[in-house]
Formats: sequence, structure tokens, C-alpha cells
Amino acid sequence: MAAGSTSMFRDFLRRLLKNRLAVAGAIVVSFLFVVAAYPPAFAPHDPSRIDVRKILEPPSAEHPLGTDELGRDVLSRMVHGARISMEVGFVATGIATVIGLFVGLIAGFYGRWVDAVLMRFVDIMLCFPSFFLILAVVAFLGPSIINIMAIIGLTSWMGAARLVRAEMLSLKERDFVAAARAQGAGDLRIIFRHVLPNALAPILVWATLGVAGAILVESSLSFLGIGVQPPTPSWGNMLTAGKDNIEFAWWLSVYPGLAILVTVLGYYLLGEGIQDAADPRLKGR
Amino acid sequence: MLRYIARRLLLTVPLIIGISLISFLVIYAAPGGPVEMATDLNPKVTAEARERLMAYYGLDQPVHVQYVRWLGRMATLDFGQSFSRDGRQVSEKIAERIPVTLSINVLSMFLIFLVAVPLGIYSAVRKDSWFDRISTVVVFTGFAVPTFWLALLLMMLFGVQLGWLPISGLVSLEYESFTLVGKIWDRVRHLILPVFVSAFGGLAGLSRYMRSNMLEVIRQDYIAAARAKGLPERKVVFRHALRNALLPFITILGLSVPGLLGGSVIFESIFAIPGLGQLFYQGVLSRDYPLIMGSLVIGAFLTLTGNLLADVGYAYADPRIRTE
Amino acid sequence: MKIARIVVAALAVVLLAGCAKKEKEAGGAAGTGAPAIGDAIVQGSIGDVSGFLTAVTSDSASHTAGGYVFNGLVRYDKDLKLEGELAESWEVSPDGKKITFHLRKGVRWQDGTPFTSEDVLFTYRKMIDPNTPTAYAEDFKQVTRAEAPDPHTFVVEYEKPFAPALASWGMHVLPKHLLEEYPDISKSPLNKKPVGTGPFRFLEWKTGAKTVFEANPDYFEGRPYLSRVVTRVIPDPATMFLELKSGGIDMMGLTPIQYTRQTETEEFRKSFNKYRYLSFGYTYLGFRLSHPLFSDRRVRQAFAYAIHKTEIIDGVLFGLGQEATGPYKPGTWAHNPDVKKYPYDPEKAKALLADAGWKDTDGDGILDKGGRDFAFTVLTNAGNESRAKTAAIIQQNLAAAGIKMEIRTLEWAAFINEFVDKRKFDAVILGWSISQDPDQYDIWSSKKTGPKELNFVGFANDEVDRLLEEGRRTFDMEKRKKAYYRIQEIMAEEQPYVFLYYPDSLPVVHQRIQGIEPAPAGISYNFIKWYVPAARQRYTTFQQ
Repeated sequence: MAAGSTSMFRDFLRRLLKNRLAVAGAIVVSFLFVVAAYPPAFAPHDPSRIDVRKILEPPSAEHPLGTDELGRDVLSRMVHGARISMEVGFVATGIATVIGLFVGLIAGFYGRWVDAVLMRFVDIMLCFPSFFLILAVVAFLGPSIINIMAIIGLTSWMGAARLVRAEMLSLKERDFVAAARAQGAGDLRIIFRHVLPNALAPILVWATLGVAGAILVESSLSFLGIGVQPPTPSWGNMLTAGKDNIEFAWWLSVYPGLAILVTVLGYYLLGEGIQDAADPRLKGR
Repeated sequence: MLRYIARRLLLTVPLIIGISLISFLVIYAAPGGPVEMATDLNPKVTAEARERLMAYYGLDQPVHVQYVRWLGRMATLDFGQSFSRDGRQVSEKIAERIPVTLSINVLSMFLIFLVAVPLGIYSAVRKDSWFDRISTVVVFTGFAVPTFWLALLLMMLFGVQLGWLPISGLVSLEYESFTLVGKIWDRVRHLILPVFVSAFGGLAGLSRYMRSNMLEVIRQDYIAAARAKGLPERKVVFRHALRNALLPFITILGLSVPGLLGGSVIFESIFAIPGLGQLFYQGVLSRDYPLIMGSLVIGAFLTLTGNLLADVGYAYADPRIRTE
Repeated sequence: MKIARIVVAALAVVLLAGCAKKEKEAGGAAGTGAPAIGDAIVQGSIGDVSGFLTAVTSDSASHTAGGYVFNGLVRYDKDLKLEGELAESWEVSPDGKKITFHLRKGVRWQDGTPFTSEDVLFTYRKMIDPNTPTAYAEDFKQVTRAEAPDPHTFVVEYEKPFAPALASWGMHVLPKHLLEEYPDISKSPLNKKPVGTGPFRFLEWKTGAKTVFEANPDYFEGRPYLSRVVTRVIPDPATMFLELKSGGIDMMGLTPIQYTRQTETEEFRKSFNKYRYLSFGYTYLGFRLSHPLFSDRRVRQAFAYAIHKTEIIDGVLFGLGQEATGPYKPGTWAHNPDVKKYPYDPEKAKALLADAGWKDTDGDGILDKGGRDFAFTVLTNAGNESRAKTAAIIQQNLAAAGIKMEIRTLEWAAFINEFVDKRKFDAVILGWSISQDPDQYDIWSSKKTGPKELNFVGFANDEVDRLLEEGRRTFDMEKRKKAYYRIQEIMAEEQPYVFLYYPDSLPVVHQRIQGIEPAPAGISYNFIKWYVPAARQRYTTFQQ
């Protein structure tokens, strides 16, 4: 089993690297990681330095992406905003993954009425337009970054749950579980040794797309005024200011929007690439 | 067939109860009350006036009493009165907004269908060609683009620079004075941007889905058989592959209702469209409990309906499902 | 061939449709033309009306709309002096406890019924009725007796002389014959389809979209020139501005940046007139006076020196506003221009803080005393761009003086409920909109510091308490002025708030509309006299 998985992994990597779009996505994602990890290295100015004499100036040598509505450097704010977006994206998706794993595992493993109840719960959650739900809860509980992460996480775990459950069920069907039990393996062992590794690829794809989705949700919330609050820079709330000044300060709308676009695109391409690379059905080409 | 529908309907009952529970919990967990909005920091309001308003709105009852009352009323679609100053029935307010949002969503789905299907098919048939590659990126850009950004850019381009399309509302001011044709055309013009923006995001997912579905179906044996029979490629594609790939697509379309509804919050605000999304957002900002509860529930109902229709349509097309 | 023709036809339709909407303004800005009846004015509003009976609404959209249809006994003229509306004249008894209003004769409700003092009495009774969900009952509860001795006289008595009383009778008068059967007037049909005595008649309310009024030909001051008033709901200022430019609306309130940067082109000026006047509200930084950091007056004064108000006005308002030195608007009769001022002086701020014991002993750039850093959190409400920007600038100013300020934005209801009302804050950035009458008892009296009351900073000054009483218990303008002048002097010394700025109101109106005369009261006070010369009327597709 172990030997098989490394060669499987190598095959997977080879396929992934052949996919140029996925590689592009991976580059974008890694670049953003680096930027988010150490913003001062990429930000030429202090992102919160206000200068009322330089309000809404177009891109120049000193301010490559222009200045915002309080004279702050757009590039520096975007760099720091990358960190916020990454944080929200990852933590929210992390929360969703954990919840989804938990629910899916329990439902798949114990089956029968536990499964029925949990899946009903998933169905119920899926009935709500998730943005409606998120909007309502964030608006009530207050737009702190923690609340946003938690709420996005709490409303997007359903996909992961279904994936994990499906994986569990298929394993059960293949008598994997019965065999492992016969060998004396405990429940947890079965889960960690067999279920999770198999579910890894689809979950990874799901999570990658999930991060992108979370970033989009956060920027939408910030745009509506109930996401990250100024003066903390987030791409979403920079766009709110951009919206108000769209006619004569195009840079404020274009660049943060572009950043969201490129980031989300990167994650999608990477996710799709992982999907294509991991999908055994493609092998027969 | 009817039995299938009946069974499906029965399954929705626990879902509905779950919906009511969750929506109630959501709103009850919120701090503060609606009275504050009505009397916000207005020097002319006294503590007495506030308490009068509080009792007036029935907020002094214990939780479970409120929930039971809520459940009973939900059964009759009576969501009570809006907490906002106009005090109208929530069901009334929602009912007058639904047609707008619904029609935009339906039109979006139509547009998505019209574009995603051929796009997906062609991409599948010409897999890995330039067309496939480029359309992947384009379609993903659509998915990745923040709706509000797109809306604003389009508004600027078509509304202001070129002046071709109106930028807000459903109808022009002089609507009443138009002829019938004029009225229809006016409405169409106002809907072009919102529908486009609404559909743009959905295009990606659905055309990708169509593509992978087609790919899978194409690989099936009976397709090989059809090819072996010497049927022209086109016939193979359209006759067999398409029909089979289309079915799950219909389901997915039904499942896209919640996403479209959620998106409506944003573009309805930007385009000043008096629909459910805008109503909900304003209700959220003003802590209008009954309105929020009602909207959440109605939104969930609409989603349920979308799912139901999709499932029924699927079952109708594929008899195998009905007998499960 | 056929396809080409279809394409051309389609293009033609698109272009024509586009042309029909955008009438080019013929000729330049000149030509004021004679007053003429007709045309419509289309206004843009961010919020929708929630009801037309102003007694039971509190948002500005509803109050503006209600003002088209209803009248009060009195109103403010262009110089902010009280003048009669439905009341022709009035007398205040020598002891100040009785006001007698002489009502205009010949006024009719829009359904033809004559207006009498019974309606005024009815209005009063409704205002104090517990069934009426109004926020404005307080002033009317001071009344001890109200009578309508004859159809054109209304007499009201108070226990003690109450100067704000006169202004309170600006409340819109309700029609008794249409409302008496409704215990809760907010549920009456009139709240959706109003009938008043005012200059405009209600035509239509499409919720979330628009309200439409038409001129009342029998209005007692004379028929308004404009035949229609339409208000369109456009929740987003950027969209509204685009609508303005493309001709969808004629009037809106500009944001400072729109005023300074987007409306300076030749083209814009040819089609629109911009106006600018100080608005009736100010923004401030309020301290919780019981907080250990802020109980020392020297600290508050230091803040006033450390905060660069000009920078705030330039950065947030683009210069379109005035520095606030107290709670009274510059240019009004109660405003005292000679109080202590606090020009930007970071050195003085540091000196004052040092006096109060705050020095930077550990070299970290933040002042400290007794081992504690000078750090606090300021709260403000989310979704208000001006306040957010103001907070950011103040944060920077204070940092330069060695003070660390965190900013926390909260959703409005939670903000008021959980923090302000419960007094759980260090400092806040908020604003007040001020009423025309200078009585500010509710905000500054030491008796109004209870939970949910408006003196939430906890200001308690015996002399101010006394002066507040003096100010409201006399009708003598001179006496009131003296009291309010002295109050402002004390405020300036005490700095319970750092008063920041009064922003300008920035309405813009389409050029074809004439008759607008900016005055201390703004521009809308003579709305019924606005007109469009016959040659330039734009909306003519409805009857006069």
C-alpha cells in the first residue's frame, strides 16, 4: 500500500505539472503566500499613513498604484490586504473542512439513522441561499474578522461532508471496513489509515475552490459594508471606496478587483488541475 | 410518476421544519432589538416611548413562546408585520418583490442554459483544443470575478460612456406613456445588465459541468457502438451524448437557485432593482426580525422548489429514477 | 441581405431608445424666463419612505415626503425664524404659560373638508396617546390643557413656560375626520395614502421605487408652480450620480468628493446648479467622562489641541464644512462665536498631557503614567464613510502626540444597545442632528444621564444645568441668548466632546429649475416657489 501511494503521488504530480493552467494557478497561489507572509517586504509605504494632500492621486513613480481616498498608498494596502484575504480564506475553509470531515465521517461510518439525520441536516443547510444566511448572521453578530471566518466556515462545510461520506460509503461497500475490523483495527485507525487518504484528493480540490469562494464572500461582505472594517485594508473594502470614486479614480477599483480576480482564478485553476490530475478516469487517454 | 412526486413532497416536510428552526435561531441570537433602530439617538425620544414600542412589538415574551407562535404562523405563511415603520405584512412585502427577483433569476438560468450548454459541448468535443483552453480561462474568469465589480464596470461602460442602457431601476420614469411595445422594450433594456451580471458567475460552473458530463458520456460504450455503426459524429453527439449529459445538468440548474438568490442581494443594490435581495439586505440592516425570518424562509422555499422541479424533471426524463 | 436589414433595424431601435431618454439641453445656462406652471422635478433619495404621517416615522425620506402633503401650525422661514403656517398668528401670555394660536381661515383638506381647530386638538390628543407609536410625544406631554374654543382658535397651556413649545407645533396637523376611527394612526390607510392641507397631493407610492405627488391647486399659499414631484429611490450614491448625469433625476445631495471632483466640468455646470450651505448636524468625539483617562479636563483639552480639525475637514469633507466649536451651528442666533478655540498645536497638547502626569518614560513613543500606557478604543458605527475616515485621521493625529487609539466599528443597533446605552465605551465618534430650537436639555442636563438617555457621556455641570432651565423657561430671546452663550463658553472650557465639524449640505439641481435662493435655512424652504420657464419644461406628458 505504501509503495503504491508514492508512485501514485508521483504520477499525480507529473500530470499536474503537465497542465500549464494549473501550474500558472500554483504560481499565483504561492506568490500570494509569500506576499501575505511578509508584507513589509513588498509594501513600499506604511499602509495606514494618511496624507490629506494626496487624496486620490493617479499611479505615479512614488505610488505605483495610486493613492486612496485618504491619501494612503494603494499598493501597500493591497499587499497588506492580501494577508487578510488569505487569512479569511484559509481559516474559514479550515473550519468548513473540519466540520465537513466530522459530519461526513460520522454519517458514513455509523450509517442508518445517524446518517439519515445528519444528511437531512445537510439538506436543510443547503436549502438556504448561503449568502442570505451569512449576511444575516454577520450583520447581527458584528463584522469582526473572527465572526466572518466563523460564519463562512459554518455555512460552507456541506460539500466536504458529502464528499467524505461518499468516500466512507464506498469503502464500506468494498468491505474495506469489515476486513480492517476483522484484522482488529479500531474505528479511528480505519478512518485515518483508509478513509482519509482516499478522500484526500477530492477534499483538496474542494478546499482549494473553497478558499477562493471564501475570498469572494469576504470581499462581497466588505463591499456591502459588513465585512472587514476600514481602516484595516481588505481588497473588498478597498473596492467600496473604489466604487464611490469610480469615475475619476479608476485605479482604486481596478487593482483590488483585479487582485481578487487573479487570486480566485489561481485557486480555481489549481483546483481544477488537481482534480484532473487525480482523476483516474483520465488515465485511459 | 405521481407517486414519485408525492414521495418527494413528503420528504420536504422535515426540511421545512428544519428551515424554520434554523432561521428562528439565527435571528434570536442577535443582540439588540428593532426598537433601537426606530428611535436611534434621536433627542426627542424618551425611555417611556421606547418601552411602549417594545411591548408593542411583542419582544418581551420568552423564547419558546415566540418560536411556537412563529411556527404556527409560518404554516399559514403569515410572517407577521414588518418592524419597519410602514408596518406592513411581511408576506405582502415579500410577495411584491418576488416576481422581480424570480424573473431575473429565471432569465439568468435561461441565459446560462443557452450559453453553457453549447459551450460545454463544444469544449468536450474539442477537448484540449485552443477553444477549450481559452474558454476554460474565460469561463473561470467569470466565476472568479466579483459580481459587484463586474456590475460597476458594465454600468460605467454601457450606462455612462456609451449611454446605451439604463443604469438603475426596472422601468424608466416615462414608462406609463410608452406604447405596449415601448413598455416591453423598456423593461428589456433595464434587465439586460442585471441578468447578464447575475448569469455570468453561474456560467462557469455549469459549462464546466456540462463539459465533464459530456466527456464522460462520450466515453460510454453505447457511444462507441453508435460510432461503430457508422453514424456521423454530429448525430452521435446530439442524439445520444447530449440527451444523457443534459439530465444532470437540469438538476444542477435547479440547484443553482440559492446561489442566484444570494447574488441578487448585491446586484439589486447596485442596479436599484426593487427585488427580494434588496429587501432582505435592508431588512438585515434595520434588524427587521419578521422580514428577515420571512425572507430566509421564502428563500429556502424557493430553493426547495427549484430542487423539486429539477428532480421531477430529471425523473421525468429518466425513468430509472422513478422506480428507486 | 435580410440579416443586414434586421441588424440595422435593431441598431436603430437601440439608438432611438437611447435618444428618447436623453434630451439634450438646448442653449446654455442663461435665460431665467418667467415663472410658469408645469413640469416635474425628479429627486433622488437613498432611502424609501416608510410612511407619510411624520408623527410615526423618524427617517428623513419620510419626513420630506410628509412635508409635501401636510402642514404644521408654524414653520421656520429662510432665516430660521418661526413663522406661521396653518396659524396666522399667535400670542404668548405674559407668564409664558399659555399660547393662543389664531388659525388661518378658508384652509381645506385635500378632500374638500374645511380645516379647523378640532383637527389641531385631535393631533395633540393623538401625540400623547399611548397607542400612537411616536418618538415625539415628549414635548406634547408638557401640555396641561388644550382647547379649541372656536374653529379658528387653538389654546394650549403649560405648567411652566416652555420655550421649545412653539417649535413643537411645527408637527404636521392630522385630519380628524379621516383618522378618528383609527386607534393607531400608523395602521391607518392615511399612512400610505396621505391627505393633508399641504401644497402637494399624493398620487402614487411604489414601494422601493418611487413616490409621486401632484400640485394642489387649492393650496392656501397658492398653487405651487411645479406640477409634479417625483422621488426615486436609488440606494447607492454612485448610481444616483450616474442617474443625475444621464437625466434620470434632477436633484440630489452630493457627497463632498462628487462636489469637488466630479462636477467641475464645463459640461456639468451648463446643466446643473450646485448649492452649498452648512447643514444642521455636527460630528464629535465624545468621552466617557467617568473614564479614568478622560476625567481630567486637561487631557480632554489636550485632545482638542492634538486633533487636526482642518486636516479632517480637508480630508473627509474636501474643505466643505466648518470647524465646530460647540453644539450650536455657526450663523444661528444662539451660536456664540467668541468661545475658547483649540487650533492645532501638538506641542501644547503634549504640555497639557505632561501636566496631567503623562510622559513617555519608557521610550516606546506612547505616553504612560504609573506604568500604564495611554491607550483606548474609540467606537463608531459601521457603514458611515465620513466617520470612518475621521477616525483614521484622529488615530494618526493622536499617535503623533503619543496616544494610542484603536478604532472599532460596530453595527448601529449593537453599538447603541450594547455599548452606548450601557455606557461600555471609552470614547465614541458620533454626530447629532440639531433641531432649530436651541434647547438641548436632553443632551446636556445632568438629569438625563440615566441608561438609554441622551447624556450618555455623563456631563454634569451645575451652572449648565441652571442655564439650561433658564433657557427653556423663558420666551425672551435675549435672555435665552445669554444663557446659551454662557453654556457654550463652559462647554469650550470643559470639552466633554471634542467638537469636530459641521459638514456642508451639497444639493445639486438641474439647471432648468429656477427660483432657488440659498439662505440660512437651506434651499428647500421655498420649494413651492420653484418653477421651470415654459420654454424649458421637460416633463409635459401629464395634465396640468
